[in-house]
Amino acid sequence: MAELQRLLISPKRLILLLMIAVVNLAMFSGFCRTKREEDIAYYNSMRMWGVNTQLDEHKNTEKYLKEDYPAYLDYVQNQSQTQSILSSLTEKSAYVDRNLNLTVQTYNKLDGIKLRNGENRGINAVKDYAITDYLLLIAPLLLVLEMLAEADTAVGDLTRSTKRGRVSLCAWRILAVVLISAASVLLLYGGNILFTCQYYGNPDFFRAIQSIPEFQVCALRLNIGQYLLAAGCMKILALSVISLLIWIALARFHPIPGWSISAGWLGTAFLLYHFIVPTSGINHLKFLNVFAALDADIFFTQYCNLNWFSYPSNFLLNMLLFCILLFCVGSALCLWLIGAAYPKKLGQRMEAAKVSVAKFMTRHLPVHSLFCAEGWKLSIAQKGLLLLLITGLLGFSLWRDIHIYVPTNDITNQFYSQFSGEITEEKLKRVAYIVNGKTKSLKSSRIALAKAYLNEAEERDIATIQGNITKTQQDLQLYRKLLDAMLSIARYSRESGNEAWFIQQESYMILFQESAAVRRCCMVLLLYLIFAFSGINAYDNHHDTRLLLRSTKKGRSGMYIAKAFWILLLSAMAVTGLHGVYLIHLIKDVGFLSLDAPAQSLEMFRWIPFHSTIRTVIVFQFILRELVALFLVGIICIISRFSRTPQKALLVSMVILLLPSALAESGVTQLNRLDFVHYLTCCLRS
Amino acid sequence: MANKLEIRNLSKQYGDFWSLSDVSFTLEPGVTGLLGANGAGKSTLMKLMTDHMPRTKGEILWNGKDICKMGRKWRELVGYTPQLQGVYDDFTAKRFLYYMGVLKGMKKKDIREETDVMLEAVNLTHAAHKKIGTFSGGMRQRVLLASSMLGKPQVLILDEPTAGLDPEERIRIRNDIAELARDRIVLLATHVVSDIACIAKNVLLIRGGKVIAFDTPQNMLANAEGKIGEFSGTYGEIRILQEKYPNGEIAQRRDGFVLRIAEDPLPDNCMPIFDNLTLEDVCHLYLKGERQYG
Repeated sequence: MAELQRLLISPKRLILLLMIAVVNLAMFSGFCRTKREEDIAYYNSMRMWGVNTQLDEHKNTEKYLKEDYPAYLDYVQNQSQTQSILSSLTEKSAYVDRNLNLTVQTYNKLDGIKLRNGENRGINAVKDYAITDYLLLIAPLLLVLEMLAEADTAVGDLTRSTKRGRVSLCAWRILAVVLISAASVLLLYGGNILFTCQYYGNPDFFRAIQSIPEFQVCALRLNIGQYLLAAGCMKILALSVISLLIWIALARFHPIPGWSISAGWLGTAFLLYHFIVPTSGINHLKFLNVFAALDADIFFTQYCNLNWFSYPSNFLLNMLLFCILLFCVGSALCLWLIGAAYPKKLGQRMEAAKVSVAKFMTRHLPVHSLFCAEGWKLSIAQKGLLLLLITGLLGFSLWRDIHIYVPTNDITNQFYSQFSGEITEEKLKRVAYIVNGKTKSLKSSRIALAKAYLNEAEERDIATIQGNITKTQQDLQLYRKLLDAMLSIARYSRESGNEAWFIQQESYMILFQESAAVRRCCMVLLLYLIFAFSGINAYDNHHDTRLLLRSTKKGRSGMYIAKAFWILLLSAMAVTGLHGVYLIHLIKDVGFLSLDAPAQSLEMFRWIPFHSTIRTVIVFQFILRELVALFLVGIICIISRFSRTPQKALLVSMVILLLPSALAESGVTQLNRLDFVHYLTCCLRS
Repeated sequence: MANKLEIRNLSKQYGDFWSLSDVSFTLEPGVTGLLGANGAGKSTLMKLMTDHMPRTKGEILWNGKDICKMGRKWRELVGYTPQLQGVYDDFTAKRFLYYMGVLKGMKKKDIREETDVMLEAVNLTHAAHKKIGTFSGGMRQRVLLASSMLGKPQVLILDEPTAGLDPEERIRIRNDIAELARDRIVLLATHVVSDIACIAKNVLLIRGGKVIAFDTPQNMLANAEGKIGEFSGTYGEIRILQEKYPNGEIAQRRDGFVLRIAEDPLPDNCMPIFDNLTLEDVCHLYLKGERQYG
């Protein structure tokens, strides 16, 4: 019990858990906001075509609840009957028959199920957001690494020399791994659910899970609350299994073979889970997989029976048995190999290889300048390069699932392609000509309609003419609006003397406004800055080298100048990389840009007193972002200077810089002034 | 002209506490041993000599120039081994020495050459490419020692450089230091008095932030004559005597037990020792209590 208290209720552990929860919440809330912004943009876009997608969606859900779902249950039932008839006529396939029977039996349990409409977006968001699943792994894995590190020290030898310091202690530690996994799930997954309740509204946890169309094929009689609980328990089981097996691998094959085994196993499991299709003949490898258990949702959004020697068996039941078996075997192995057996240190086997690598590195990367030496310290010793790589991957993955909609339609696009750019007399005349033409066309259509009424024409012809009139009216309204915009810009140019072009304002607004997507990007940037630079001074403090460094010729200003260069370089790379990817993504999705257009072409930049292009403004925004990033790094460096270890600096930096932003992102408006992510966006329009 | 490092009326105050008070002495090429109890001000003196902290008053002059004004030029002349084993665990020994060479402003070619020589000198060539994190305390200490000797510094300030080394290594390092000190100033602080006894040209005794003696080991030993004595008896008798002389050292001899004490004057029934006096005895005599040297 004392071991549990020591491992779990330490302030360090609690702060760590809290920080992971905060980061997760910040990222998840960004995800939800981005989705909502996408939806709004999509609705607006469709509305220009006269389509009300919101209403359509509502109708579709109602139809699903009243017609589609009962039809689906009937379909499953009928499939069975059809198959029995076919089987009696053709050669009998034992597995297909058994599978259908089992399916029907399973779905029979859903007879009389009552579905209700409600708020589905929150549950869908929780289901779709996969990053939480990976963040869940951090706390249990860190606990395992901590226990491994302790075993290598004198404390490890000391505890093993006591009466209850072997198997008994190991058993308590297994329990600690399970409890920390449960705490992670509760905090992170629970945080996501609470956020969606606040953001989207109460999803009504007592509705049958099948009320959400995405869960149509779920064959379990569960309500939403029960589904969340079951998924949470599966995640805890998966986390415990992963942690225990990694613990064993690292304890017995420490360190490189252990890491290789763990990485190989997890990598293979991940690939099998993601690339095997559910209907594949080897779908056992997909479903009997720790990543399937960690995802959990797949067992509620799909239905599948596994073929065991021509006997079907429910995939969820199989997965549960598999994970429980793995957990029991893992626990037993832990008790035996880590608790009872003599500790085995196989690290020496890799010593020769490590020395060869170090020799190679020293020969080819000898680092003879202070700049390179500090770079080595920051990027290799403190894993800065790895962090940059992870940030890059995260940056790319952020944009992969984001689609930017500009509320526009074909007519508008066509108009802009013809008339955007510098406003000339000729262009104005051409637009006026089109407007006149449309006006005339409208007039003639109205006359035609009147004649049709007089001549008592067929209803179909009248409807066609009415449709034409409505279309022409809409077009005319749009053209007039665009003409007004052109005239307004021309007037502004004449009055102010500043050059201004006619361009599609909406696209550029997206570029310069603080959208949820940009905030997510800046949240990643802030995380990178905190992780990369928390150790910049604390690393020296931790190794007690400050005194030694300061006693050397270049150990004072010279060293700090070199560090400052690296800060500038790495932060500029991160800022340019993350925002650059966003810009490219935007250009790809929106398809603009007249970057050479004068900045004053956009209403929001009319205040700029001198001539500048949109390209200049974008560059200026990048520089501003870099400056804000440098200011934040300055704060991180100060925290790092006064922290004993990089970990402490990391935690303090997160509390000071990230927590207010995460809370502001989650809706605590009182902290808006301390929302550093907002400052980091440097958006000129919120 | 030989180099000279003069310390004049050096004082350092932390709040109301004077860690060093009016310390004055002059160092010349050769090893100067620095002895003092824990908290006597040894590390503070060394930190002031490396210009790591501001002094409250006094001067430190290198050939007549104040080291604070010399700044980088002074630090270029100094090699320092701090008391804490401050090394980067993630660096290999060779890379750490390269790094220190860079910080010392050494040339590329010199860094390469001297690193190999120093690793050889501290007997770490076999572990040159291993991470320092895997080293024992003694090996870490040797890495630090090698780093302090990089760049051929004129002044070596070594704060317990032989701590954690096994006897063989200690002798080896001690001899290296003696060799280095032939043409440079070495200030060597240690609790292992025998290290100083073998190689020190002068010994500096510090007590309560004040210099109580700065003399050659020979003079110090001569000064201690008649102030070191032994009681003989059974273990029981010696234990009773030790209650009276708690700083006395009990030793076992062929004919029974003795209690070796340092007192001035010696008690009547105590046998004065004239042979086999050590610097350890001098430390016993002056580093405890309020006794004045001389």
